[in-house]
Amino acid sequence: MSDSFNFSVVTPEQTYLDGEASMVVVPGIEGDIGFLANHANIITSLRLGTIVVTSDKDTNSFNVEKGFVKFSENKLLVVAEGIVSE
Amino acid sequence: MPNLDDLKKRIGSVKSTEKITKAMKMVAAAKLRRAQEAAESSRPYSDSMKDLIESISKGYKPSSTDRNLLTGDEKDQIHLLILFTSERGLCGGFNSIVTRTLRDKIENLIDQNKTVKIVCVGKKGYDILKRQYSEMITEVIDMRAVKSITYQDAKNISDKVVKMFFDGEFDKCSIFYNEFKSVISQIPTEQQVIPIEIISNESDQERKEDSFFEFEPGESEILDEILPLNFTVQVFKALLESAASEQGARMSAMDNASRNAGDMIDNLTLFYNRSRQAVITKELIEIISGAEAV
Repeated sequence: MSDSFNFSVVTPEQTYLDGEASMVVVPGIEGDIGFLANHANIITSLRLGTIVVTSDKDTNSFNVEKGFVKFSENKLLVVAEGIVSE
Repeated sequence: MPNLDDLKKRIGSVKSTEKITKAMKMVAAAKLRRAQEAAESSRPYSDSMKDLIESISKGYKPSSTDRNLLTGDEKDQIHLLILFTSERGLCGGFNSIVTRTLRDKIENLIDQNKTVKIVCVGKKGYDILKRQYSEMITEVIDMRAVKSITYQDAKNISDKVVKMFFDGEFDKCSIFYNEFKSVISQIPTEQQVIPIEIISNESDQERKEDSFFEFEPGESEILDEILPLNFTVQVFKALLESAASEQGARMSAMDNASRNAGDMIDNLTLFYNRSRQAVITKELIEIISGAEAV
């Protein structure tokens, strides 16, 4: 199985998710971006869309309102204004 | 000689006051727990936001002509001060202490010939300031209808202020609120939010020296988007801290009031019993001397 990296999603009200993932696809403002472990450092803003998280066990997805993503030191941080419940 | 009935009534009224203050203390304690939880759960977000801005703003040089939220304007004439107070009283020195901090700042700015504008969030601060500074108060934001503070409340306030900034209505903005340290201690805090004060310590900078970021779309576009958001976060944080502090202050104020009421009841009861005894003694003397006279 591929390497995993730390992944967390924070919103103003709560820390929505905090865990390990092997692949995360986020809706970047200029197009979807996929993250694997050891991705280059990047900061980007998000558009409204779906984040897909793949970990060793399963695949999860949820929708975010606009926000920002930062990847550095093998850590993916998603700062979102809100999680849109389905 | 005080009337025994009057004393009795007075003891009764102090007792019922004590009941009220005790109940208020209990309510404040319950609300405090909730407010504290809300303040704590918002902390990761504001920390992450700060982290992001630090990463972006490092090495970023804005073109000097821009009016932006990061570096503000070269102008330093009009100051906007936002005061966070409560909607209700009976919370000790909570409102007056933070308002005093604000007043010092206002006097300081007036001495420097600056123009001051004030936005009051919460009615109590406005009540204190309106007599002296009514012409400076540009807006009063009513939070009475708000039961528990949401991010949207903060967004409504910050959207207004950010719009004012880009309309050129002020150059610098500071917020004043009570920071929640513990139930018995709330610290009146002044924080400059526009332009942002970035506190970066040395070791932190060294550690991140080698980190380099790609930006998508561009650095300035991201900053344009993230800075208003950061301002919202600061407002949100101030609101939550202020709410938690309010309940903490009310709780200790009501605790004091209950204790004072208890002391008062003890004193009054003692006085009541003494008077009662005096009345009995007096009656006995009257009877005895009456019997002797016969």
